[in-house]
Amino acid sequence: MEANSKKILSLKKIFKSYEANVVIDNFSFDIDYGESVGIFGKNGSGKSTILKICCGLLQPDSGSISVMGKSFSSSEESLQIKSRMGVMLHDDMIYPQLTVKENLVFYSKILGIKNTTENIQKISSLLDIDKYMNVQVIKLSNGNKRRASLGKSLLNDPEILIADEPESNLDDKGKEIVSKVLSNRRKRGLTNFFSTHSKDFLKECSTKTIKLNGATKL
Amino acid sequence: MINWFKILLTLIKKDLKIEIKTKETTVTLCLFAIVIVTVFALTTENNSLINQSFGAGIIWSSVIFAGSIAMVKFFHHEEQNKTLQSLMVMPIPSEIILFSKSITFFIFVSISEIIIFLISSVLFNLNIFSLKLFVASLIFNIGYSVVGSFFGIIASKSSSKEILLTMLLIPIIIPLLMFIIAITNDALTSNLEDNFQTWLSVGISFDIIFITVMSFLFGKILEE
Repeated sequence: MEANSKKILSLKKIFKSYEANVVIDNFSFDIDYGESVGIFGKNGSGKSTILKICCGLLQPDSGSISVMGKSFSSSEESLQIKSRMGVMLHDDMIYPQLTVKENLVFYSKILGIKNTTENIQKISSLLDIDKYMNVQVIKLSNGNKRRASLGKSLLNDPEILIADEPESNLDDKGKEIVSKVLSNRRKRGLTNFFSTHSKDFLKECSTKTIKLNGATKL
Repeated sequence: MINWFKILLTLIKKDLKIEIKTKETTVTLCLFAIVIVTVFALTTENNSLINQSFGAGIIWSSVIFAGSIAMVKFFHHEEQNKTLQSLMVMPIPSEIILFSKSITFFIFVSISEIIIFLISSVLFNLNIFSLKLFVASLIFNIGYSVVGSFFGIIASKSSSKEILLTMLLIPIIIPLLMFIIAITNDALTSNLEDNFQTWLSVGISFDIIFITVMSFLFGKILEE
């Protein structure tokens, strides 16, 4: 945890538009270490855009963002943020041609994780995907792909997990697992920032909520 | 300290593993290259005339066109599965991603060139195997792979991938094409000594300039 600040994520006066559509207009908020923040709103309200800005995939048109007291504008700080962050976006972002295990081993190597086998085993039993470890991702159901994608984002036990609708495509058991993962992380003082359409999931997993009102036209 | 070379190798191994499983890029590349060379061979009455006139043109146009098509396929999967985004949120500099893609594509192009050279030497009775041409081909492949990977990623985001890639790629690599065609022509006519040094410096300069520029710009084009 940063010594001089309890904020893990801070967005100030963020403005983002796609051509004439203003998606985010003068948006500011902070997330403290250990919070579990859920963001909700109708389709096109900018949930995914905010999450992409928070993980450095998108640049806001104006405004500033700091994660763990660091900024994406410095390439060195950007790498430091990314090494302590887990990201699960709407797309599963795993290689369909590889097996679940091959995907997790690959990302573990990229993240420089040392005890890869133990770590992957722990995550696979946590998400109940042990029996799919040697199955090609392309052959998995959407729900299991989602779980594998969550597994990928948990590999480095991130200080902040950014997840775009982590419960989507999951059955009740899958939703329960994801909810358990998020609450366990919160109990361990780790931060979650996720978007959802489900009010039940929001109630279950968040300590703070943010409602987005939607896009406007310039 | 982070071992970037190890990460680069991990990225390359991953791409090669996927290619070994799917065989999509290499099959596309080799098949198109073979088809182009064979069509030229079938439509030319006296294949021995090819030697002096347009042997180099046939060889390198096969490489370029087959390479462009394979490149589109290679990057289409990354875009479709959003796996490039996944790499962008990993703690790796964007240049490492560009280099890994370029090296993987370099391997694919080199394989296709070996096939094209072998077929051309048989079909057109060309004597094209020389150390100098081999060195020139490596320099060409480096430049072509880096520039191709750069524009391949831009084109993969478009609905008209094939057209966009060809339109972006071909004009940029004209100096590189001039370099390799001149050296190949000289090799075919056994005049390799004359302008070799001059053309070699053109090829090497192209590679240095474009590797530097593309590495610098790659991070920016990855942003949506």
